Amino acid sequence: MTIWKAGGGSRDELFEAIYRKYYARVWRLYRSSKVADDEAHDLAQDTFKRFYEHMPQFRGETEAVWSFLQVTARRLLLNRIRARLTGKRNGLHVDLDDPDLAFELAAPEEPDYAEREHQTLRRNRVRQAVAELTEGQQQVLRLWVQGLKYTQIAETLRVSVDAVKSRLRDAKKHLRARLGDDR
Amino acid sequence: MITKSDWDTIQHELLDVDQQHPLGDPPTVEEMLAYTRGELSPEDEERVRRLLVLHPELAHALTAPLPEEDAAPGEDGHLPPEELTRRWTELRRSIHGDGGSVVQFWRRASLAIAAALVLAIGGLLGQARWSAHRLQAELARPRAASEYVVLMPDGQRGRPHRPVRLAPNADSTMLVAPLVGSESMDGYRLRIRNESGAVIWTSEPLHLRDDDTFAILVPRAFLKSGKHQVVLYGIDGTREEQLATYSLTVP
Repeated sequence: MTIWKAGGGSRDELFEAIYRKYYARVWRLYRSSKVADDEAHDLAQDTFKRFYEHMPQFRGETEAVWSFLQVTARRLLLNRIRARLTGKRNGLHVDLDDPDLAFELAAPEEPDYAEREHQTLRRNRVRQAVAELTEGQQQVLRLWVQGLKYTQIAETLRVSVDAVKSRLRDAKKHLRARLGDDR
Repeated sequence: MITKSDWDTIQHELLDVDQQHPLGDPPTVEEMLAYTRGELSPEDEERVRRLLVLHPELAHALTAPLPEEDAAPGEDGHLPPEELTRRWTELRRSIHGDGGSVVQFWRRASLAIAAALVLAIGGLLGQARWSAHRLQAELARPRAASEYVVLMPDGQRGRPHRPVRLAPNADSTMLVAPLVGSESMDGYRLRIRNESGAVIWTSEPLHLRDDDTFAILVPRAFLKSGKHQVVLYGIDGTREEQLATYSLTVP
């Protein structure tokens, strides 16, 4: 039995049936993208409001409904992230050398010069090793350390999953070889 | 061995590469969706790819798989039925009004404004009609002038020029302007000027009374505080000639 038959006749009854079937999934998409719970509900409700507005266009195709909800939810999510990123880019930047800044830096603890020297050398070696990676390897590595799955990285870079695995393997191999066991 | 500290440095280093080569604003939603469908030119495709790498949260949102099934009770991401119902109530309220929907809000607001306007206009009309009725009744009744002032013409020889000062609390004042030493004219007219010289009132053509005076009853509300001047004109055919001025001060 489709939602359209189960939902009864009126538009509102159908809408409620669709809501009860898909709301939790849409909300989970937002939650999986690290959106706070309340905001995830707000976005999910916006998704369903948009569906309600477009509802007369649907003629009982359940797959089309889910497809519409997916695209709408993804668009709203991308819009939200993009707005946040754009806001960040255009945000106020404070010059650390600004003489008006009144705060004082905390006094550093007594430094262990040998340890600091070692850390600096190590960081320089890591930087050098990363710089030696190809651009494709750097891209895969970056998305991987950010927690994206192989399939997501492949989709992001528009390459195959095998290519992702291969680039990542080569990148790790290179880093291990350059950084070795020397600490 | 690559340590956690190394990974932190690697991540930082990869971020730093982006700082050195700024690529501009994040891609638009349309660009990102077109990118996934392979509809962009090679240059744009490369730009969007780099920007997605630069902003992994966008890459994640663009590629995150949508759950095909609801989470089971106890699993992460499970939405309890009572929460689902609560959110449904909110959503329905938001769509159908009760303060939530913008359309509903404006529809209700428009009706409320229209009703308020009808009431306000009705009230104003009622009040205006009542005021007119009261005014008409008052005008039809005898009314005593609370002050009687004889004005003296300005510039009379042997008299210092001192404007007449009206009483501060009078409701209305009878101003009497005597005609002194002028030959008889076909008619006369009085005008009142305010402190800046602007004419604030002009009488109809008047005839001199038997005692050679002109009298005007002036409601005090008509005269603002300050100096005023009553000006007497003689009418000779189509010509008007200034005959006298009478200064007064309203407190």
